[in-house]
Amino acid sequence: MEELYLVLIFLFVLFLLLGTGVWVGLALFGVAFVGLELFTTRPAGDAMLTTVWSASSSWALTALPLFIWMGEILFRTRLSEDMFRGLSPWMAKLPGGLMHTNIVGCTVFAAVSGSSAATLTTVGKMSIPELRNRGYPEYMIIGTLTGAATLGLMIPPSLTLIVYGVTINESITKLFMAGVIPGLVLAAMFMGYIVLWSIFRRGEVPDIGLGVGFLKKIVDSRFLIPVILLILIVIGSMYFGFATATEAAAFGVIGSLLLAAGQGSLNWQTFVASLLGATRTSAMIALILGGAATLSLAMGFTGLPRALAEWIDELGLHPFSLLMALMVFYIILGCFLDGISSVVLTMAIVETMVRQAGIDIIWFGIFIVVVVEMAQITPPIGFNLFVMQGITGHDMGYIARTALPMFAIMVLMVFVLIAFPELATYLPENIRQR
Amino acid sequence: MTFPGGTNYAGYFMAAASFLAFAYTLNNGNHIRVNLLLGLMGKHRRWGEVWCFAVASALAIYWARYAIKTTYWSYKLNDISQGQDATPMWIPQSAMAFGTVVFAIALVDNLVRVTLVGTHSAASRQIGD
Repeated sequence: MEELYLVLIFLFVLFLLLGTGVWVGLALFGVAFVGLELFTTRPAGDAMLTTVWSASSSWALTALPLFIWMGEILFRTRLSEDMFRGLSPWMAKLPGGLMHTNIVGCTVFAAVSGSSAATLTTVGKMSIPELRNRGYPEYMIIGTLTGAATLGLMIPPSLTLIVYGVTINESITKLFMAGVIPGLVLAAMFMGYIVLWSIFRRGEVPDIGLGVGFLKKIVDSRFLIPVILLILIVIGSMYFGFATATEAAAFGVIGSLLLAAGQGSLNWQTFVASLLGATRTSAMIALILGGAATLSLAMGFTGLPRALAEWIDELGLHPFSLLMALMVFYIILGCFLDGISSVVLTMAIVETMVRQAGIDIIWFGIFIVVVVEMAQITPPIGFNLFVMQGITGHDMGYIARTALPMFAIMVLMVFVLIAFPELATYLPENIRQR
Repeated sequence: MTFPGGTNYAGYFMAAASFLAFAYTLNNGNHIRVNLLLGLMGKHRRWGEVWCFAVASALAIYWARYAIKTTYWSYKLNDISQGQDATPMWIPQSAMAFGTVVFAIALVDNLVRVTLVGTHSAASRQIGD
């Protein structure tokens, strides 16, 4: 019985520190300290710092700052203008017209950046004013963009997947490969929604005139071709086993520097700004990871993960029910925490549970990313909603309502993933080994 | 072409880049926190911030203290990396010790300012500014 009180105190401290607004990484560090003091007699500080050091100096983690930097470089180029100009001739003939540039633009930028906020800002900067000028309805512009920007978390390089892989000690390359097909399927489902909209709300689709010839299309999208090449090199080199995730990221950085230089948007200011931006984001994640490493050390001593896993085993819960419960849990958690924090905070407990239930841990990574993506567009704390508010000035409630159909599509995506797990497991199982 | 111990060196630089940037990241408002309750406190928000900075300062001081201790003992016991690089561990670890000390100082600085004057420099900012 005494154990139960200790666990309750431990969880109380967790909610107290996180809830009152102590920085997530430090809060996790503090909770771990309390946990170690409560459950063990050994000196907490030394054990915690040994754990922090090995977690912070791991080779697998080095892919993180490089991919962040790559996104930061491209974020500061003319990519967003080029993207709209290059994509729109190809999209004009589709039912729903230029609205598709939102989805395809997000998909392309998601493949060079791991963050959904950067994806949203880059694509939105150009496509929102252009689509408004052509008379597309505001709720569709805002909704599709807010939803599709979450693809940044799923399509490699994905910061959430790197953090997930580092936390559970699995290959980041495998996780990246697992994200490719589900990301494309989700993008296709978003586009399907736009097609349905154009059929049922025919009156809302403005007439944008005839498409242009094939040659003109190629000429218009010539600036996009280097970006597509860069994506193919980064993802291809990992798939064919030429490069580890970190090496592929380094190629990506060199490629994006060349691309920025070729466009003439690389100067000393943008170079420094991209480097500082990458430093801040990666230090932010490193603090969370450092704190989370101590927390999972402490969690081990509380016996909580094992007890929960055994309890779920005794219940004889079907994996499907477990996944449904976890989905609801993460959506609620995501109302208060950002994606990366909720992944590292919970994996200390959830990993044991999931492995015990016989769920593929790589597949689960994709599952968790879809669920965390949903949390990005739900109030009161949806990160994409904040960013969108910053860009358009609409209030959060309105943006959240426009993104509701996208939320429903993501829920559907969870069921698609459960029904066809091969979507996520096929590519990682077939990576070339060299 | 191989570079023996390359992955270890990359790891050390990763750690140094993170720890040395903690304070800078804090003062730019990029460290993530849950703002919900603070936002609801309205004009009493300052006291919420005082609590956060006080707790964070205490934790960061504790963190820095043990980072120094870990580094000191690595030096004292002549702890050598297990990898091919065979680096004495105190060299990369001193970046952690230094970075966490600066981080603790930055938090205490903000704590003093928010308590006495009511302002601090760790307000949250959006990405892409």
